[in-house]
Amino acid sequence: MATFAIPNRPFATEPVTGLMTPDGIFEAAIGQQNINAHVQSSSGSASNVQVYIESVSDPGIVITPATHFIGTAAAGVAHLFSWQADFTGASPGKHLVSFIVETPGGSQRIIKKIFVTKIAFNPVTGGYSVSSPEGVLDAVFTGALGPKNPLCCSGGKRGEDCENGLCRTRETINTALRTAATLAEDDKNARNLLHYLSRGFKGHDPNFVFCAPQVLITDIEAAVTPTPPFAGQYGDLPFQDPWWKVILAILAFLLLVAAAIAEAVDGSGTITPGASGTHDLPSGSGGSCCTPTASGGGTSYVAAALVAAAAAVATVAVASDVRDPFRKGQDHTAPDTATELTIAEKLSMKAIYTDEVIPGKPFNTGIEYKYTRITTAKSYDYAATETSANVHLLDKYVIDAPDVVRAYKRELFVVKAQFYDANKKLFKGSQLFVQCYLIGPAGQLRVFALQDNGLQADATSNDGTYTGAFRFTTDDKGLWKYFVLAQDVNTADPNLDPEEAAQIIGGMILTDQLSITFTGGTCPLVADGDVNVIV
Amino acid sequence: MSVQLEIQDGSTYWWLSPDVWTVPGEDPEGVPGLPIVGQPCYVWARVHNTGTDAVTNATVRFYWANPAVGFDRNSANHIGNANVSLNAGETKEVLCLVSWTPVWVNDGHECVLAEAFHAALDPLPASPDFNVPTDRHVAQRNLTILEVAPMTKNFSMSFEIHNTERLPRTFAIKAEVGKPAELRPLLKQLGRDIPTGTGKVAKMGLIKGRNACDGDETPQPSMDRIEVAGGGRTGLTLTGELEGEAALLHVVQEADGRDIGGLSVLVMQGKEQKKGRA
Repeated sequence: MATFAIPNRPFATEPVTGLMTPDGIFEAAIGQQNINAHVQSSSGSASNVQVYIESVSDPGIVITPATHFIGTAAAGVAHLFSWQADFTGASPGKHLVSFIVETPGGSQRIIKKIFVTKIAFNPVTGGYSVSSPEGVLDAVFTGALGPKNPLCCSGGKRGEDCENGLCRTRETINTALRTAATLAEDDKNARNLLHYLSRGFKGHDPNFVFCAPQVLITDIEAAVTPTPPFAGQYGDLPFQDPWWKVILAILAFLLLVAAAIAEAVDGSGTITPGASGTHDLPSGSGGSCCTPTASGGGTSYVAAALVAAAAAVATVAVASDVRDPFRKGQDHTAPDTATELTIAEKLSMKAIYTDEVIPGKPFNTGIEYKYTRITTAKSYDYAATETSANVHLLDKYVIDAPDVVRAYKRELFVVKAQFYDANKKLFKGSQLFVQCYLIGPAGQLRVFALQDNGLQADATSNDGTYTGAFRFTTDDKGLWKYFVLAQDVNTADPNLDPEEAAQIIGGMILTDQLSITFTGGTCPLVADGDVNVIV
Repeated sequence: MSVQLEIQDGSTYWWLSPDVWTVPGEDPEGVPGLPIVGQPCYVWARVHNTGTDAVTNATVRFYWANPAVGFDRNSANHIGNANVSLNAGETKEVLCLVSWTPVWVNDGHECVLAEAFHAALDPLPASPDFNVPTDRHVAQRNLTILEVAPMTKNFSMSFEIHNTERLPRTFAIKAEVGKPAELRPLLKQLGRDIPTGTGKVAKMGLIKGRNACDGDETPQPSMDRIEVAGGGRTGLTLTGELEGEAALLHVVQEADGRDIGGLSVLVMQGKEQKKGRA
């Protein structure tokens, strides 16, 4: 009998962009998300395999039951499956999910951990609180990097906000969110950026116009309140696994997505994810941040996804994968006595972007930070300026897809993609999460996954060629763009020491369709190709 | 199309289902055993599809209940849900990953239930009543293990009966002696051996109230008329003297001439009197 495993921690994809969240962590404030898992036969092969989620340890997570089928599950081949779930009522913490893999020879139960955070808007600080069992992280983004002219009126949708093609001056997020919170006092502060995430966008709006007045977070005031206060030099990592900076990256990612949706839904130009320090120049570079633009509809969603994903990559890169500023601060601020308890840790950090931010490329970044440990006896400080580089790298990727599809002949649109790591070695199987975003001439958006499992359109399993297929209908006439987005996956062994596990981060975008450059103009947003659909 | 989901009842006493059990501790796939107050445990159910067609994504709901006799879907405590897919004629063990931490209520006497259904292909009856003995979807495990100190033959166990209806009802309660061998189908899930020797119970009976030491009421093997106000509950105590190694007792609750609830007690010689439930 074949034996199955789920080699990686199941990960979240959020509903607005369809991308994996940083490190695959689920967020209660979003509500609906997908639980994604690679199911792999670790020994032997089996036919007619069924996979479903049996149960979840948190009753606040409501799964939409679904059973997936695998015609033939060969040994060592991973198959990606997704289940919709509502996390609205989820409690923050580490939860268990049991998967059932059933073959004609019997069934097998696989229990995996997932991580859930819970973000709440804090009207007092104008920031956000992210809860995990090990503590609460409060973060206020006090500075952001954005284009001088975000061209928010490019779609002409919000003409009232424009003057000579420029958006009017934007209020800071602190002011905007405080106002929103006051107005929505009876609505539990729903009308902040989280509101847009949880509400989603009621389906993909072909008229959605993307605007990104700020694209990179530069200044962050963060504080961790450990629960409970801890003795000694080191506290627990959130979920006993990722660095606290990963939580910051989740926040940055989700708020940027929400901001884009807020712009599209309300178009007020008053809600942006940055803060009072918004500026258009990378620190000391003399350059000018490019302006992300998109032609509207589906392309705008892709642009929103890529800007948010790039910001997450940048945030993680700034703070280094190996050891984050919180941990480094702890390294240098050992309490004087064993009886002192650390009751809070504060981090004031400023990102320095010395290179253009191009996902998948080894761009360098810098950070100036001050860490403060507050104990029951006194405070300890540590400050440093450091440089680091993005380590989520792709040497290159190659896409193979037809440029014409005859829908009237029911031809499939088959996309094949290969991704080479920094050592020019192909990624394979469950090492990547790959999706193709199809953007139609009328702003339509279709998304499908590419797999390396040797089934359906994929010719050979584990050969490093990820393949997916889509069938256009006779309503899909015209020229479609496509983007193939790849994200890495957290491959940490669940038995790893927390410090080691924390150094493995997944969910980082590797493909470079969008670059954040500092030479002005528009940010390069390059589709991987076009396909002409003939009906 | 025929899908028939079933969780089996106990053969003689329906509340002794062999298909519902608990696993105490942090490992949901650990060794079955008795739940311990204050410590988490996981509830499992064995679900059969006795129909002729396969079913995917059926739902299994898990509950614990207080009091042990007389409750419905509204008064039982929902623990969590699970999903199961079954071919025709197939049986599967289903795990509820939401852990249940038993609390000390009803003198420690609580029971667990599970029900399996598919909303479209094999729905539950519309009534909030569980109707365990007549509804194949649902089963109940309601067993208490009571250890009696070696130097003390006397035992007692308090429990409540609950009238879930709006209007007053009259119940009949009777205590019966069974045989420990009746528990054999449950052995795998008890997490412990049961004595192979036999025993008997003297002076077995029921008294009103929840403290055997109160008053001088003579225990009665049955009580034919116990009136309980609508939505109310009343306490009773099962008492007796164990002679020998072990004895199995059943308490049966009747209303309107039919069994509507019950619980079973395995009384065993032990180092000290203590209780566990399964």
